[in-house]
Amino acid sequence: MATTHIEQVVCASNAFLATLTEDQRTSLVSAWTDNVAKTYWSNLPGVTRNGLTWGTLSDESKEAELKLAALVLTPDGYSDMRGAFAADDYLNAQDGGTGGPPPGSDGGTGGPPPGGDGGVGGPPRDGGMGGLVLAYGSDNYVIAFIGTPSTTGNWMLQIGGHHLAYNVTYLNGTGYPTPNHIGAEPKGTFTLNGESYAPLADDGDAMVALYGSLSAEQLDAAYLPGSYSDVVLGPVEFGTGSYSKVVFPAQAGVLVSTLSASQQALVTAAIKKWVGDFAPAIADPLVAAYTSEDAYAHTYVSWAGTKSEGVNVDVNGTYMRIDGPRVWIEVACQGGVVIRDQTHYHTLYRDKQTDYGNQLTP
Amino acid sequence: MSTAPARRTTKGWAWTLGLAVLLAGVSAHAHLVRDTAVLLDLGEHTVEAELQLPLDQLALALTGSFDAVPAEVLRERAAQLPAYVREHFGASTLDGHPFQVEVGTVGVQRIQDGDCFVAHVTLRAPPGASARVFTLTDTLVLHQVMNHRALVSVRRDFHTGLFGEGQEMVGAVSAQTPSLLIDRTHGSWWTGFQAVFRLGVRHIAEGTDHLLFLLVLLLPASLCARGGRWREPDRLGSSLKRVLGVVTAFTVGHSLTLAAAAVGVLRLPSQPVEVLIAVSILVSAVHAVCPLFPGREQLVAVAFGLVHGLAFATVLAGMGFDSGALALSILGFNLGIEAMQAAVVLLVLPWLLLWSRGRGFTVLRIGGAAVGGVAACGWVLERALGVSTPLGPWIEAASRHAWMGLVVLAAMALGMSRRGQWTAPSSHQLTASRVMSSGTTCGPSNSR
Repeated sequence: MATTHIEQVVCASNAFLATLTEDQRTSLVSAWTDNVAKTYWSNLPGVTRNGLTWGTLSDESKEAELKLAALVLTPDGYSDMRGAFAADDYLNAQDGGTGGPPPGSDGGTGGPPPGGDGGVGGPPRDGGMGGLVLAYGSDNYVIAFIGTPSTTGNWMLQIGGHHLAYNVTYLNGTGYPTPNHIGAEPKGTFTLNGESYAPLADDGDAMVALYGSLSAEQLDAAYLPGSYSDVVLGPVEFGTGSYSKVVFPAQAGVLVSTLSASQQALVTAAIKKWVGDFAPAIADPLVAAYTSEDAYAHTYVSWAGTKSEGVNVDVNGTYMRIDGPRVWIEVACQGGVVIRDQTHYHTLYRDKQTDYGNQLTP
Repeated sequence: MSTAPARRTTKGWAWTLGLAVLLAGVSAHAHLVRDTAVLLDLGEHTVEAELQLPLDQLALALTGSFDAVPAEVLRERAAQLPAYVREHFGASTLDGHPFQVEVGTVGVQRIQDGDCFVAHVTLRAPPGASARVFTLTDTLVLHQVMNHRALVSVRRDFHTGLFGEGQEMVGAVSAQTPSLLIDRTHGSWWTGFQAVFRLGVRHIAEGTDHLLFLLVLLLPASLCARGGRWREPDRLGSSLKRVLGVVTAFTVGHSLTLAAAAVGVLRLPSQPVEVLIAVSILVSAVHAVCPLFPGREQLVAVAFGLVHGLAFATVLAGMGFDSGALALSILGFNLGIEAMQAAVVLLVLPWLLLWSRGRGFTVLRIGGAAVGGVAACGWVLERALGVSTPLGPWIEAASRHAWMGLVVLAAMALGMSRRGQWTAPSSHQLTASRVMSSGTTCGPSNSR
């Protein structure tokens, strides 16, 4: 009987594989050496991804995939994933239902406000991707293995789609959960088929609580120049199989070590909102590394947006960042794409040392 | 900036503003493409760059405000935009000597699913320096929008065989890394020449209308014209001479206009040219049914060659190459066309010559002419009047089975010529004797 995290995950992976046809297994698994495949993740709908889509799976396979996801993720991370699936079905219903910009949008005044949805990177244009298909819906979410699941070998699990990228790399049983992207439109609570969802509401609230605790001077010192119509380090490496395009900006903002104990606790709480989406076996050592005294001596919090509005997640262009020696979390609030009168979240969690398990370097 | 680009700039803005007004409120749904695209056309000493900046991101960069309405921002700042481009876009040699920057036409265009501000910029290497390796620096938009990126691609580069059909991504710039090394020293004149030769071959192989024109022209090539009708087969030598003459004349014609149009001496809108090409097929088809211009085929071939050359030139037009690359492009492309043309003639002609000495050749000649004529009519309607007919797609679909057609032609030719020899030797002799006795001469090469 499987007891450790990795044993349970490999067991659930094999159980999932066992529900698939031979053809499906071939589509599901890429070679571990295929670095380009590792970088096929994006915030965008309709781009090239690896593996099998949710809509093509049998009920049995779907159940097995969810069991696997529930082992890799905590209940928080699992509900974020289900929330992302549901949000896309919700968008699909909104988008298809109204057949045009929904009421409340700025119809007629000249297109969307700057900073609507869009490529936090996404596919290079004219890069042979063909046209981007704006297909919303949970059926389009993929699951893929890069390498073969094993307790001792190297492999990667990808679950992804519009506004969702779980990329968990296992190296000899140790899991590395980055790069990790989650977005949410709508960013608040919505109801689909009688169930209510709010995938990123708690994550957003944790950031709001952190910035809400900062004094006017601290907010001023944490303010970044420039405009942020999206996160900075979205899938900039999409399809490259390389770290060369992942360039972290110079650190700026307010040092966490200069904050009060209660403010630091709010930083830790916010970091845990992202890292804590992954099973304790993955997250615990990372949280310890990100929130140590040493780390906080080199970790900055910063924000950008309309200064007079303060850190207001309902204002287009509000941007928040936690930037440490390893951890990189950014949250961008941007105008809605389908639901035009609200902002929505794009978030990115990276580890400056162990994205893809630090395995892209040849 | 010289006066010429300035004038062009103003003109560019005239249609820009019109378009901006037109586009206001159009772009309702998701804007997915948010990166700037930089497309480079490389020459020996200059680089032509086309910059495509997403309108909303540019407006954000110019105002710092998310509430700005892009079309209005651009209207208000139209006059300053060329200077903005010059300030934020440039290149330098590896030892730091700057290229000269000239901003040409600017305007607004819809690209994929988003509106873009499009600027054409010429980068001139300092005297003595090559434009094949340089550092590109681009801080447009990303001086303000910290998440913005510009994806840089090479669109045209003779040395590496890029002729504007596909693009090669060479990198990206961002606020963190606004400079990018562009090194295109790995190509060669020979690589480019081979690539443009293949382009010529492909242009004929895939250009159904050119191919059809050639085939229809060959249909009656082996026959004698007498009394306004196609008669018995001509002597082999005369037939070959005539075909050679016609093909050479066609080649001379299209080489002349291809070269003239490619160097920019001759510029005709493509629509009338396309219509004339369809007409040329129709005329050859009628000629294949009953001789319209017996003995003057070469003259007609020159004329139609001139027309087809204009169409070939559209492939080379706008390549923006400097003289060396352009000359090689014209030569290589033309040789590619010649090679493919010669291959088609060599593959098809023997069977036509063979079959024309057997039975049922008239069926092929009339049938082939009918197919060519109908397709030509379809193209004329489509190209001249914009009426879409299913004929074009049918012919395109059929042309994908050209090899099958060739095999059938060969088999039929073999079968028919054999039956012709076995069952009707007397008619052949009869024909031959009639030719001898009536003293009729056939075709242009005999009559002169």
